[in-house]
Amino acid sequence: MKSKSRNFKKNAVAALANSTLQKALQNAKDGFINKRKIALDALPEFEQLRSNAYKIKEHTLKNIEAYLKQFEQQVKNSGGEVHWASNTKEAQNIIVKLCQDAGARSITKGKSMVGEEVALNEALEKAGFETIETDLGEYIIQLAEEPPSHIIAPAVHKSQQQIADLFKEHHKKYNFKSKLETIPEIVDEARKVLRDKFIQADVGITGANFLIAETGSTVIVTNEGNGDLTASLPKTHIVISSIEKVVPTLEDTSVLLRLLARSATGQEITSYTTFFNGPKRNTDLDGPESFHVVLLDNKRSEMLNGEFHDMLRCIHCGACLNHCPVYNTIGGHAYGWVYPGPMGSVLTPLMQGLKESQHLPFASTLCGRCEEVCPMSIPLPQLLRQHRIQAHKEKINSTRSRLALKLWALFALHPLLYRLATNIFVKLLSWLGKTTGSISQLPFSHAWTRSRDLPSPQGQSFISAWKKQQKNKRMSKHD
Amino acid sequence: MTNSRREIFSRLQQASSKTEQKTVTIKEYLSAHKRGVLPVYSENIVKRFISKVESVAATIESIKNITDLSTAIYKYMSCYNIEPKLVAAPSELLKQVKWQKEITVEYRAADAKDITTLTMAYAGIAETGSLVLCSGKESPTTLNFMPDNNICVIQKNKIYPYMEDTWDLLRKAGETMPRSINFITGPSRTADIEQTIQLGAHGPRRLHIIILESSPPR
Ligand code: SF4
Repeated sequence: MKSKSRNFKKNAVAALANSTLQKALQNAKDGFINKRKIALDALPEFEQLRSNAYKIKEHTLKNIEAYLKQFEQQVKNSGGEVHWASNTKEAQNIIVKLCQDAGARSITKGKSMVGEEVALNEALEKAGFETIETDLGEYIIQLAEEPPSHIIAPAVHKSQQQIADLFKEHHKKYNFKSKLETIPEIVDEARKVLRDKFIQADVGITGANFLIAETGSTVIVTNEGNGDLTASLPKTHIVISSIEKVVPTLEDTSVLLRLLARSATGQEITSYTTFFNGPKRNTDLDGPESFHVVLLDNKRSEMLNGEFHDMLRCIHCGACLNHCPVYNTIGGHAYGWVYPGPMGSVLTPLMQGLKESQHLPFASTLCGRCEEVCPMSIPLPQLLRQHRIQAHKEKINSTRSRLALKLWALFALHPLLYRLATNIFVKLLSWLGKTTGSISQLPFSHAWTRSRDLPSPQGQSFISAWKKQQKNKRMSKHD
Repeated sequence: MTNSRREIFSRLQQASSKTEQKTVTIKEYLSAHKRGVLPVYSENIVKRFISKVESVAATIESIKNITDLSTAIYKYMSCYNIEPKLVAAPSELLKQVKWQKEITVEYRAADAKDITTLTMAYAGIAETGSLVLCSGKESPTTLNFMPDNNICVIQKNKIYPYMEDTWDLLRKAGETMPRSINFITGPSRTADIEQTIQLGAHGPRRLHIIILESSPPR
């Protein structure tokens, strides 16, 4: 998918005016936050698990080269093959070639955010394959020709009515004509339509939440069972994932799984957690004949030793999105690329270039909620700040904000000047708001005062009030 | 694409150093199989397993002996109005069952038309109420995902406290990993439409678990 992050401001304004979206966002926010809270309240070990997970991931990242080699060797030992892709184009080419070699016509896909990152569907369709998303949320947005708006709930922005309309339009060709009035009816029709697709598919492509070095396993975490049908029915199973998903042992994976489902959907464990190890064995009665793992780098190796190292611990649970006041107000599409919310505002500039996505690091109040809920203790606000600093250094941000920062720096270095200026400013503001107690228009800040009033200052600045108080104290001591 | 492999590893190498020493540490790390933090609970594991299974919308019952299985399944199928036709995993134990004449049973992998399947769990996990199924000649994976109704038998003495116990079991068996290890916790579900949970997305709409109390003769 081509990044539209450049249009962030325009996208955000449109999102605010979209009432269906606003309703969906409110609904999703309440659901996600409550479910996670209930799950964590029932888990006194959360903090312990969190620091356990931190150590596991840091140990892995320190030795990532060795663990990836071990993973590759173990995949080979179980009869599969690992392919390496430096960038998204290479990943596309490798997978298109694998599908051609398999003589494929139709392909089913389980949900994969790395698949979205490399725009796999577009590449497969261009190469002439029928490509069907089988996760219900992904299927819905595929019909709507939209990108996902959430990393674990891709169609969270769609209403029941919108989905029923989409099905009506697209399922006519399969002879489904009745009007779908309820959620069970919608789910049932999707089940029927997709069942045939599962059976016809020549290749199944799934993502992976974890890659286990010890055993060469790839792990998927799902609720619908579509990932397992995608992996088990076709002749070829291709896993697309990225290098930072490697974890040393089965035991380490168990720790991360305890955090993942709770942080994502508030479940202790999802309905299906599956560990795949290569193709079908000689005596197996089902399963694919060949098994491939495609591992994407796409700038991750460059993050390893730099300021954004911490981001590589991300397990893509989506908790930072669900708790972000900005995400909850504008939804995922406004961010313009596949990863939205706080984690996306850190990743997108790294993968698509800071210039292309310059607004994203600023699309945050730095309130710190994301870091607080992140099961992998990723300091998201700090990482966003690093992007802001970089944007300033590279002169990517607007002249106006650069000027404001310069002015601020001048004041910060000269406290006397700052005090003088604030005293004048406080007086000016009090005068502006003297009749109503609030200011409805502020020079240079029209956007801020357009939708709210600024309360006028009550009295002096803090410093002058404090000084006066100290002086009074001293005086009363002398009395 | 071996070039990409070389490039990726050279970038990773640049980012780290002292590789040789690390190879030793990672070997030690991998063979230690160190368990991480385990959520503590005090209930008896079978009780916990049952209550967890019920909390994820699956149903569960216990039978004393394998000879009770046919009756139990027939009762379950009648109760839900399910056609008494089973596709069962060709496991040693299930193949020994003498089925009552009302039920027809085939032992094979699943296909698209199968409504009800019968499987045999490798283990059960009390922490989360999960069944563990390992693919193999006695346990085709499609049986777990294709049907509308999945009935799964678990021996009581194969219920363990944590997911980690599965790893020890597999290592003890000394065999290579099966192609697919499924942790199954309740029936298939989706919340993709307005966050409303709906059972039976692509996998089974119903999951019924039967605990077998006696351990059958080996
Ligand atoms: S940054 Fe943290 S909270 Fe956000 S998706 Fe990643 S792991 Fe989850």
